[in-house]
Amino acid sequence: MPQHTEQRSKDVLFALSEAGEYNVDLNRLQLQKLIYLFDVLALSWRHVGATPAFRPWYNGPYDSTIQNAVDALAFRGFVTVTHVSFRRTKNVEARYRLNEAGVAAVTELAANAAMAHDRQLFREIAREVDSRDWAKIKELVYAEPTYNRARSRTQIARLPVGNVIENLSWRLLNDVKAAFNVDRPSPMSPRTLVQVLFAILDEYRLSPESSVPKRD
Amino acid sequence: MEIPQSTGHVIAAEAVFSDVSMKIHRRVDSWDYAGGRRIVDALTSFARKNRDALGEHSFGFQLTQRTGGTAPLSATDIITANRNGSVLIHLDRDLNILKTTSLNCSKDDPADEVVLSEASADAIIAHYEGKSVLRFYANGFTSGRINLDDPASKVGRLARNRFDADQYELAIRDHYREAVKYFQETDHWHDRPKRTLRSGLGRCKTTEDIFHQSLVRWLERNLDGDVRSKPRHTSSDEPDIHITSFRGKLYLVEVKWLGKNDRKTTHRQGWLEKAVRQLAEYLKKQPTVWRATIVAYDGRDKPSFETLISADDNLDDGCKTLAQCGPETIHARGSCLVLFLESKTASEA
Repeated sequence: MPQHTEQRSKDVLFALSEAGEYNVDLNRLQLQKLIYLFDVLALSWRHVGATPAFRPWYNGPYDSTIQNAVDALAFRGFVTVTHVSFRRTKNVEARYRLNEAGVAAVTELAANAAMAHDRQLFREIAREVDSRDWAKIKELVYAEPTYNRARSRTQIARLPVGNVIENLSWRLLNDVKAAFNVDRPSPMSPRTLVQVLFAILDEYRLSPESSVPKRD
Repeated sequence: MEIPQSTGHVIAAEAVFSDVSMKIHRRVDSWDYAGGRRIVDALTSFARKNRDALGEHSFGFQLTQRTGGTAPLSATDIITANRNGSVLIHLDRDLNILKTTSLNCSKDDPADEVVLSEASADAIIAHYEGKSVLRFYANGFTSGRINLDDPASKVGRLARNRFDADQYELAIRDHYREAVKYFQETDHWHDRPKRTLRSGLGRCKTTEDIFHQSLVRWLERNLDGDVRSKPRHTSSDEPDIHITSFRGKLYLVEVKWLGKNDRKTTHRQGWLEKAVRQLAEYLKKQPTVWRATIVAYDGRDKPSFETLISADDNLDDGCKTLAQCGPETIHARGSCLVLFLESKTASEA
C-alpha cells in the first residue's frame, strides 16, 4: 500500500471510530469532510501540518487516497460497508462503520502516544459536528475559509492546509489565540481552538456573505 | 495578519472572540467554551420567554457546567427564592436547579454590582437586571451583557436614573421635573394663560389619565421594581399604580389633580382631603401594603398652591409633601406629594 494511503488508513480508522461513538455510519463524502477538518486543524493541534492532498472538487474537498484507504480496510476486514447503491457507474454510495477487528486496530494504534493525540483531535471534531448534526458537516466544510477561497476561485490545485500562510483557518485561530492570551497566565488550549473554529464556521455560514449550500 | 479574501471570516472570528462565553473562558480556565455558549444561549432564551412573568425584578444565577440538577428552572421558583433576600440560584448545564445560596447583602437591598462581582470569585454569575439586560460576571469581572430585547444587538445605554422600588417617590419627583413641570411630555394644558387643563388627550380619556399614563411609563423605565397599572373599578377605592419591589414589598400610588379642566370640572383642596381620607381608610384595611402615596398635580394658581404647608422644605421648587391636608392627617404609611404645574415654560418664567 502506498505510504500516503497507509497514513490515510489511520485517519479513516480514527474517523470511523469517533463517528461510531455517536452511532453514526459515515458515507463517502462525510468521511472525506471529517478527515478534511482534521487536516485543517492539524497545524493548530499538533503544530505539524497535514500533507496537501485534498483538491476542491464539486462536492467539497476530496482526497482519492481516503477512498482507496477505506476500500482497502473493507477488503481486509476492518470496515463494514452498508447501504451500497450505484446511481451510475462512477457514482457509488455507501456507508462505513468499524467492525470488531477495526475497533481492535484502533485500540492498538492509539497505544502510540502520537497516534492517540491524533485520535483525540478526531474526537473533538466529532463532538463538535455531532452537537450541530452530522447532516451539517457539508455546510461546515464549505464555510471553512481555505476551501471557501479555493472554491470561489475554481482552483483545482491541492488545498495547502499544511502551510501556515495558506491555511486561513490556522491564521484566524492564530489571531484569536494571540488576542486571547494577552495578560493571561495560561494560553488557549488546543481543545478550545477546535471549538473556536467551529464557532467561527457557524458565524460565517449563518452570515449574509456566506454562499454555503444548505443541503448535502 | 491580513486575510484579504475572507473579510466575512474575520468578522465571524471577531464575533466569536467577543462573545460572552469566550469572555468568561478568559477569566475562568475551567469554563468549557463551546458548552458555555449553549448555556448562555439557553439562559438568554429562558429570560426572553419569561420576561413578562419576571417583570423588572433583578436576581442572580450561578452557572456551572455540571449535571445533577433536578428541578427545571421556572419563573415562579426565581420569585419565590428571592422573596426573603437576594439569593444565587445555582444551575447545572441544562438549567436545572442545583441549590440556592445567600448573597452577602442585607435583606432590604437587592444585590448590586459590588455584591455580584465579589460573589463571582472563581465562579460565573448571570444577573437578570430587568426585562432588557442579562449581565454576566466571571471571577470578579463583568464578562458581557446581553440585550434581551434583541440578543444580536448591543445593550443600550442604561436608563438615565435608576431607582430602587422603595425610592419610588424620588422617581415620581424626577418624572415631575423631567416630564410634567413644564409640560415637556405630558402636554396637559388646554389653555395655559387661564390655567385650564385638558380633559383628555389621545388615548387618555380623563385629565387624571394624562398624568397617570405618563407616570406609569416613567416608573416602568426608571424603577427597579415591577410596576403595574390597575384597572379601574368605580366601586373600588384601591389606588391605581402598584409597585412590587424585589423583596415583594407592595407600594401604591394614587394619582390626583387639582384645578379645572376644559369640561369645567373643578377639583379643589377638598378633593385632595377626600383622597387622603380614603387612602387612610384603605391602608387600615390593608396592613400588607408597605407604603402608599397620593400624587396630586396642582393646576390651580400659585397662591393656592402656596397655602399648602410642606413637611419638608428641602424639596425642589414646585414640590410639597404634606403631613396634614386640611383636617385630614396623612396615614403613618402614607404620604401626599403635591406638584405644581407651571403654565409658563422655563424660559418664559
